[in-house]
Amino acid sequence: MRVHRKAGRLVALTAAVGLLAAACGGEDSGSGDTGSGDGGDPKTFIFGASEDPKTLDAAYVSDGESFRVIFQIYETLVALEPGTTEVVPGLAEEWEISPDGLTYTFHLRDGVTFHDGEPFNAEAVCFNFDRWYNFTGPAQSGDVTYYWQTIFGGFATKEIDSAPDTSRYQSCEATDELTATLTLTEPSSALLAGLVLPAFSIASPKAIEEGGTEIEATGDSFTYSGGFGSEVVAGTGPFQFVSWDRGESLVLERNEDYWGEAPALDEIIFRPIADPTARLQALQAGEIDAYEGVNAADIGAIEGAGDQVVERPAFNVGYVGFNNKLPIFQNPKIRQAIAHALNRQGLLDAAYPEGAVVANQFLPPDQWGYNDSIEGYEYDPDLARQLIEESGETNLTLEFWYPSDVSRPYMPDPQAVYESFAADLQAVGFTIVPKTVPWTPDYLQNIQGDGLGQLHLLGWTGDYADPDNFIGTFFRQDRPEFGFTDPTIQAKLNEALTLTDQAEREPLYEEINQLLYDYIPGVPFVHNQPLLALAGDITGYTPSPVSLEYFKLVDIEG
Amino acid sequence: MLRFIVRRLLLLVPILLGLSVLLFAWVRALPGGPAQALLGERATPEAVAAIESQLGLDRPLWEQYLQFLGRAVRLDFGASLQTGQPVIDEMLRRFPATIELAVAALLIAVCVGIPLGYLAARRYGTWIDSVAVTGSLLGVTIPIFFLAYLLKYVFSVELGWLPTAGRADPRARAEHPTGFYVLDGIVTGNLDASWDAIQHLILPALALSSIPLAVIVRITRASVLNVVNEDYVRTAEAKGLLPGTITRRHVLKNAMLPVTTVIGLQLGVLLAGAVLTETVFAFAGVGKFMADAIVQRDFPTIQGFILVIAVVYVVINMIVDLVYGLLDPRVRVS
Repeated sequence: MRVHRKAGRLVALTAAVGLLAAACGGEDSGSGDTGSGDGGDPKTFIFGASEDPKTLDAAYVSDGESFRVIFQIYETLVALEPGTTEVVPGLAEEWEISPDGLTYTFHLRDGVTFHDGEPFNAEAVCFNFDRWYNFTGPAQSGDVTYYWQTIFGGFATKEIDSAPDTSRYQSCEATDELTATLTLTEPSSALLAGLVLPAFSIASPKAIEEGGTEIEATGDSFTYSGGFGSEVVAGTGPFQFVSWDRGESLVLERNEDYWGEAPALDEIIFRPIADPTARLQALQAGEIDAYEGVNAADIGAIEGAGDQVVERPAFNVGYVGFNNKLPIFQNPKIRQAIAHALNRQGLLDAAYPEGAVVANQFLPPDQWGYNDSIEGYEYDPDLARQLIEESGETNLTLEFWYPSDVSRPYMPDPQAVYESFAADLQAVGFTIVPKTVPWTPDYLQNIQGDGLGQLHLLGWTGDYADPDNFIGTFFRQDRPEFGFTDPTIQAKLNEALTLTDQAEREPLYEEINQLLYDYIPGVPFVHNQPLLALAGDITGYTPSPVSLEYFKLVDIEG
Repeated sequence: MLRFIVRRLLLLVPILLGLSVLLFAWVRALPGGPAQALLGERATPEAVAAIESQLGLDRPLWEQYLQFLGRAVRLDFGASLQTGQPVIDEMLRRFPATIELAVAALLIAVCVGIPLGYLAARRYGTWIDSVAVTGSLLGVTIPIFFLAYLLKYVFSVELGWLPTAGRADPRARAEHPTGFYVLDGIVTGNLDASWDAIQHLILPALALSSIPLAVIVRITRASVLNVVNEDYVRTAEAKGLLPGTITRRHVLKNAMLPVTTVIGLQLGVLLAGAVLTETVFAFAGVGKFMADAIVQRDFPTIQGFILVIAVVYVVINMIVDLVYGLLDPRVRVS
């Protein structure tokens, strides 16, 4: 007994001394520098992600963290010119669209192989399309296959009530080894822009079949029980999957057989670090090379230490939405009064990083369809007061909703936006009642689901480069958020979606933007530039408006 | 002894039943209910209805509760909404990290706290005592996350001695057969990996140990002060026993009784503190997983976590009582 106790003490003592000694020594810890470039050291790029991907089965995800990893491993038929939203050849070298917009013929790149050694060909392409179209059961949930449903609609057999009734997809045929013909049931103008999304990644049919893609509704939730996307991963991209220790790290290495130009990096590691301050400190300590979601207040500290802050082109819009079905908002003078009462430039100067610009349309300036002739609502409190008087409204009390516990690309600090705008509105005679609830699920449910908002703050970041992705999402259908039912604008938005010729669509969208500007269903106020931090020695990182960045272009200076 | 253990384990049954009712009711009270929480922002009413019937949420409440209970008994809490993997697998994978962290923090708290508390008592009223008392007051009041950022700023960002995040250097690609990273290095003969894991443990363990350390210092100090004024200590001194013998046999042995109880209770504090510490240090344990689960309304994980922690807590308390009995024969008798 006595001996044991002594032994126990000894162990405890040794451990404590060990810990303390470690705390004081360890200058050669190896954790300080990302050790790249010089001599034979591998070039390892470490990205500090905010969370793990959900799965690497691209068809089942729609979130940015999953897409970031998937985008390096897999490729799509059409790709993006880095740093832009321009559609360029990807796995298809060229393509033809039939005059009726129903048939897309893709001529595929020759000599491409999947990471598991399987050949890439038209059969593999159609295998993937057929897989997506034939999803059953829980996979038809809008939460699981959001982008398939956005771009193609429904499935071969509708199995859950929430799935769309019809599908734009008809068939995919391997006409020959390197020609895949995609046939639609109705034309879709957004198809090519949509196909660049990682959700349409072409994966190795063998890997899909061997890994398994089962998805079950167990208990109160979905389980991804298939091995494809977690254990078996094979695309055609510049990097291939090595290992994934959930919560710790996800490792990719260079694909030595890549068909394109060989990437400079040997290895990419994604580390989930949820806390933004912890990401900043990890960058400062040299443990990560990059992270997304830089706080404007940290820019000085990052640049002062020799690291870089880069801006993503603004491909988002933040707006003050009105609930247009309420009587007070059916009075155009009130809508105009609010538009002139808000000091948007003042807000941006005070609460947004440099590079944020005042929005006058619900579409970012880089997106075609943007109407250059619109000048914007002048900040004019006197005019606002006059408009209120002319409106004849006497009850000027409005609930102003904003979300708590969240930072969005278009709205880093919702409370600051609220406070600024509420003061502007009070100054011209409105009585503002603040309403704030947590972002998920309450805020979106209250605003988008139940239409409880009167005034509310919200915004949107583009998924793909098509005007319909912005103003179509907001206004093409009746949505509780805006309570907006203008038949003229809605008819034009529907018409614009069925045309496939961009030259015809562009003027239509410009016209719609003018109509929206005149109607004022809400006041857009910002196109913000989300910020990324990079270590000082990183080169070639090209920020993308749609957040799809090619790590194959990244290098680490020796 | 056996009867005592069995009785304490039986006590778990009503505790867990009560908890299960609370947890079941809580998920049903979420805005929109579980189906809405599951589908999130893009859900239409039709989708919610479809999922409700798919998951059996349209059946009577008592039937749903029995189903929930039946699954919980088999440790089936459903899948985590964050990862789509079974909650129990996620928890088992992450528990070693939290245990490693809690043990390291407890080691620091005990090995620094007891000597410091003892010293403060024996040098009562001197500057050593003042430092110990002020320091422990600071330890209890300073928020863990603030201390964590401070430690990282000094030891990682400025001095570059220790890593800021994670459990291991991801470039090392070490193997982890047990999930206890320090142990894994020894098992696989990769001592560099153990050393790397220890380096990653130090700052989070220091941050996490702040509260237990402070509490142990104060309790030890108070307890030693009590004991040194007891008659039997004066008698021992009068008998001419060596000071070292008095300290070991008479002072420490008796003064440690309340400290033991406190150490046991602090284990609960460590588990709660791990939620913050693991988040700030991106340390992939159950605490961080729980924190993420709360933010993302991952209710299957939250349910599973609470049930498992309740069991752990009751078991720890039982062990503390047992140890107490070993140390103090009077407790055993009663």
